[in-house]
Formats: sequence, C-alpha cells, structure tokens
Amino acid sequence: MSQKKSKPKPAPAPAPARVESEPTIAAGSSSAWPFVLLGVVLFGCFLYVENTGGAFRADIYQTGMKTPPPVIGESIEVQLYKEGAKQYAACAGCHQPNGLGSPALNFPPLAGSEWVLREKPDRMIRIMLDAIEGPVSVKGTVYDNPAMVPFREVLNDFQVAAIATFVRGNAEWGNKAGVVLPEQVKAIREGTASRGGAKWRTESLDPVP
Amino acid sequence: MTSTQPASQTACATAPSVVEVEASCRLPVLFLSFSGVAWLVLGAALALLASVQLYVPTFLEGCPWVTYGRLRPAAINALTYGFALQIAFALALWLIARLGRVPLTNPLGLFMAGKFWNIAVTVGVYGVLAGDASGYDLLEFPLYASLPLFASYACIAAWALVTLHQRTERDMYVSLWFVLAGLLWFPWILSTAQGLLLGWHVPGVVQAVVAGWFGNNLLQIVLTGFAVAVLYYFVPKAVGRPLANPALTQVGFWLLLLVGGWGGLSQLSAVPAWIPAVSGAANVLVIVPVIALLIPLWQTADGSISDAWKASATFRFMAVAAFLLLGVTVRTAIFGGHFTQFTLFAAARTDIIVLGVFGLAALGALHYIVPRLTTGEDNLPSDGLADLSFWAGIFGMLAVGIGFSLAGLGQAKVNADATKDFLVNGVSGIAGALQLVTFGYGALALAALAFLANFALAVRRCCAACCGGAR
Ligand code: HEC
Repeated sequence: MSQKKSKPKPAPAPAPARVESEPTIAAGSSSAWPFVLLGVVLFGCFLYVENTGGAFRADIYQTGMKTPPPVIGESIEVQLYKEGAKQYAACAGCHQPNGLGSPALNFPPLAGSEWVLREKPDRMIRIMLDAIEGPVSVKGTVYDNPAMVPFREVLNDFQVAAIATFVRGNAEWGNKAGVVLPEQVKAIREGTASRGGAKWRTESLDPVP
Repeated sequence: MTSTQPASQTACATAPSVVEVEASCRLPVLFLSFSGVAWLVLGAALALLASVQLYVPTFLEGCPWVTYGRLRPAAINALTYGFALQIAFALALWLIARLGRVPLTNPLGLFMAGKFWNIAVTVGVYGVLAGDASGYDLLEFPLYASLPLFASYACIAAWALVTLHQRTERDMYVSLWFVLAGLLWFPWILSTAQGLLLGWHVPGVVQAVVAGWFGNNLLQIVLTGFAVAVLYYFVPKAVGRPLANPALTQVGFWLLLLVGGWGGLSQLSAVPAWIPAVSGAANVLVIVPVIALLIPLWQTADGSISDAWKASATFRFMAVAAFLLLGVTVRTAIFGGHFTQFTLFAAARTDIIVLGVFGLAALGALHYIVPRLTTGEDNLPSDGLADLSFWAGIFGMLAVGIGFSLAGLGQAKVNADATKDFLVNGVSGIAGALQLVTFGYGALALAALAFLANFALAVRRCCAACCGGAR
C-alpha cells in the first residue's frame, strides 16, 4: 500500500469513466420558516426554563422551586444554645469558662446560682442588660463587687437570649433551667429602658418574679 | 475536470486531476479507514462482553481487568476515539481533497500522525482496562494517553487545514463547512475539558458539568457534524442532482453550532436547577437545526429515493443514518429529562450517535471511497459482503438502540414507582432487552468484519494489478 505520489503511475486499475462531478448547489432563495419554528420552540423553551430553572439561582437545586428551601433540622433551642456557647466568651473572663466564678476575687458563680436557675429568666435578663451591684448572696456566700458590666448596648436580643439559654441549660455545670427566647429579652429591654441604665441591686430585683 | 466546468474554475489553472488528488489520499485515508473499522470490531466486542455482564453478573467474574466498570468505558472510548473520530479524520481528509480539488499536504506525515493516534488509543484503552480511567464520561483515557492523542490530532488537523487553505476550488461546499467546524471544534472542547478536569482539578459538581458539556459537544456538534458532512456529499451524488434549498442548509449549520452545544446536561443531578432546565430546553431546540438540515436532503432526493436505494449501497447507509439522526434527536428531546435519569436510556444516546448516525454514514462513505482508492472501481469487490455489512450494521444498530432504550425505560419506571421491586422489575425484568443489545453489538462487529474482508479483497486485487502480484 505504499504508492508514492512522485511515481505517477496512472490509476492502478482500468480507469475509464472517471469524470466524476462533485455535488453542486441548486439555486434557491431563503425562507423564513425555520426562524418562525425557532421562535415558537424558543418560546416554549423560555416557559420551561422559567418554570423549572430555579430562577437561575446558584443555591436552588430542586426543579420547580423559586427560592431555596428553608434550612430545617435544627430547632430554635439548639440554635440558641449553640450560639450562646460561642457568645459566652463575653462572660467567661469574670465568671470563668466553667461557670464557677472565682470566689477569691469576689466573682460569683453562674453554675448552680439561684439567680440563674429561677423558673422565670426575668431577673437574669435584667442583670445581663444593666448589671448588678451591691451585696448579693449566691449559694450562701455574699459577694459585693461593682465590676459586673451592663450588656444593653453590647449584645442584641438574640445574643442575650442565646447566652441565657446556654448558661441556664448547661448540663455540664449541673444547670437545667428552660430556654430564653429573644422575644422575652426584647420585652424586658423595652420595659426597663426608662430606668436610664441604672444597675440593679438585690433590693430592686426583689419584686421581679 | 476543467472540460465540464465553466470559467470560474478554469481561472485556477493549477487545479490537479482527480487521479493526482486520489493518489495523495491513498496512504493516509486507507490507513485511517482500515484501522478505524478495526477499532469498531474491537470496541463492539468489548461492548458486547460488558453488556452480557448486565444480566449475567457472574460472567467473567474474578478478573478486575474485565469488570463492567472497566469494560464499558474501554469499549465506548475505543468506539469514539478509535473508530468514530479516526474515520472522521479519514473522511475529512478525503472530502477536503476532493471538494477542494487539491492533493493532501504531507500524506506521509498524516499517515504517521494517524499511526500515533492509534498507538495513543491503544494505550488509552489498555490504561482504562488496567484501572487507570479518569472517571469522566467520554474522557476516560488517562493523561498519559490523552496528551499524545491530542498531539497527534493537532498534526492531523494542521495538515488538513493547510490542505483546505490550498484548495483550488475556492467555493466551499456545504460538507466542508461541517468538516471545518468539526476540525476546529474538537480541539477546543478537548483541550478545555482536559485542562479543567486533569490540569485545573475543578471541584466536584463542576467536573460533572464539564464532562457533560464535552460529551454533548463531541456527539452533537463534532460527530453529528461529520455525519451531516458525509450525508451532504453523498446524497446529492447518489441521486445525481444538485443540492436543493441551500439557504436552509446555511440556517441549519449556524443554528446547530449555536444551540447544539447547550444540551446534554439535562440529566445531571446535584447541580443548580437552571443547568438541567436550560440544557433540556436546548435538547428540544436542537430539533430545529436538525430538521433544517434534513429537509434539503429530503428535497434533493425526493422522487429518486427508491431508485437510489436499489442502485447504491452507500445511499442505503446514508438514508438510515439520516433517519437515525432525526430519531435520536427527537428521542433525547422527549425522554432526555428527569424520567430517564440514571438509566441505560441515557447511556444509549452515545451509542446511537457514535455507531448509528455517524457510524452508519461513515461505513456507507467508506463503501464508496475505499474501492476508488484501491481498485479504482465503483464498488468493493464483493457485493455479498457489502450487503452483509449493510444489513448487519442496520440490525445491529437498531438492536443496540432499541434494546438499551427499552431497558432504560424499564429502569425509569422502577425509579418512578415505589411499589415496583428493584430486583424483579429493574434488573431481571430488563434482561430480555439487554440480550437484544448483546446481539446488536455482535451484529455490528460482524458488519465491520464484513467490510474489512471486502477491504482486504480490494487491496489484494489492487496489489495484484499494480505490482503484478510481486508484493
Ligand atoms: C467584668 C466582670 C464581669 C463580667 C464580664 C460579667 N459579670 Fe456577671 N457579675 C460580675 C460581678 C462582680 C457580679 C457580682 C455583682 C455584685 O456583687 O453585686 C456579677 C453577677 C452576676 C450575676 C448574679 C450573681 C450570680 O452569680 O448569679 C449574674 C446572673 C451574672 N453576673 C451574669 C453574667 C453574664 C450572663 C455575663 C455575660 C454576658 C456576665 N455576668 C458578665 C462580674 C461580671
């Protein structure tokens, strides 16, 4: 099979009627119907993409949806607790990461504290928002230290609720009081705004449930 | 040549004779054709073995080299790169030389590049069987095979394009548009896909999108395009009429390039919903160019179809390939979505386009080209073998297409209906359809073998004629 181009041996076998013409093109005018058809099909395609294409969003994977499905799985309690575990850093400097405070330095504990574990979180939320000063008895020891700082301007409702939920529900510290919701914090924040940020004292908290 | 042509051609005083043109084609085109069809035999045999494992799970058990996960990609890649693309190069070279009235540039270099292409495909198939597959659909060849593959392609394409540039017939006939588009499209998609997947290592979901994009472009634009080029060359030739309605052809060409590349991703899962949506729409939209391309062929042949069918083996192949092109396009448009996701129905699209639309058109073209380049006659030496090749090819293709489609629809019903039992309905229930597939691959291998035998007869006769049997 190694015929060389340079050896112009005429076609190997008898090659009579070799005058083969190549295909040619007939005269013809263009027509518009492919574009009409294209338009119709294209319209259908747009409808289809509009209905199934997830509005061209990168976070929609389900045919026929226009917005991503809500993230389900984690209850509000779990979300608050997890967030609270992070935000607790704000308190850990004084009350210690283990919640035991440091009695030697006059910092009261949060673990097992009767201020924390009340059935209603109303007192704790107030202490967190505007702080507490003067003598305060925790687990039989009286502390008196004006160092506690107010968090009214520092933490939002969700963060306060989260920390309170984390501290009250922290099983490792032996605490098992109920969840605190952001709405509760909001109500108290608004209800106590008129006090002008004055710190609480044991006496002023007495009437609070 | 000039005697029958008007003044526009005589201006190119250098236009070479058909004999000269064909002499330059002989070595590369015959080599690529023969080895391409040989890959069809091998690929069909591998696919046959793989298909048996779908319903006889213990078949060839125990040897990792021949598990389904290696056999099937080895088969598909052998068929795509060894058979389809290789034959596409042969046809492209021949069409450029004939329609451009120009001898091929550097036939020896083309032959060598073709040789290297074959070595690369061999290494690639071996690598897949050895367990080195990359895992991306239609890009399974490991890097040590795909790089040489690309290099040999670059040589073939470069010389083909130089030849096209030197053509003496300046008007480009329709077939050459598709050849040119295919020759340029293929390196673009191959280098982009391999660069992103093997070089850039794009993350998870993007890999599926890139591989899907490549596979669809290869099938829908490159291989379909080469098939259309062949159809547009041989149909007018077989019926002896000029091509009707060229304006429509032009519309079809541009629309195919425009919308063809968007399909093929409609069955991806775990990607943002707009990707399958747009892709599914493109699958439907591509019907327009396909119809626009088939109507001129129909108009050209209308009235002479039965005569041409009887007279020309090549025309028979063309008619079936055109029919399959319409069929596979409609099939993908209607069933290409969610319903058949994760089923053999989707996998069968590759087989139908590679082996049917392109494969049958190519076999038909080779039945015309090979005798002209060897014995110089109009037909291959044995009519019987040509008929065998045709009928085995048709039935094999239909069996593979129908078998996989039925099996896939069966699986889809199981997926869609929780009350159906997976093993009973989805595995044992489709075994019959899969046996049809096995039969089909066998018939396709037979069709290829019949052609190769005819090819060998022609070469022997040619050698006897020109060398007096000395060699
Ligand atoms: C700068 C140090 C400091 C920080 C920060 C601090 N506290 Fe306090 N806290 C104190 C001190 C000191 C007292 C005792 C006040 C007193 O003696 O009246 C106290 C008292 C309390 C009490 C009442 C007594 C008890 O132990 O139950 C609660 C409840 C409390 N803090 C909660 C918190 C929470 C929740 C945070 C974080 C958001 C926080 N504190 C941050 C210093 C701090």
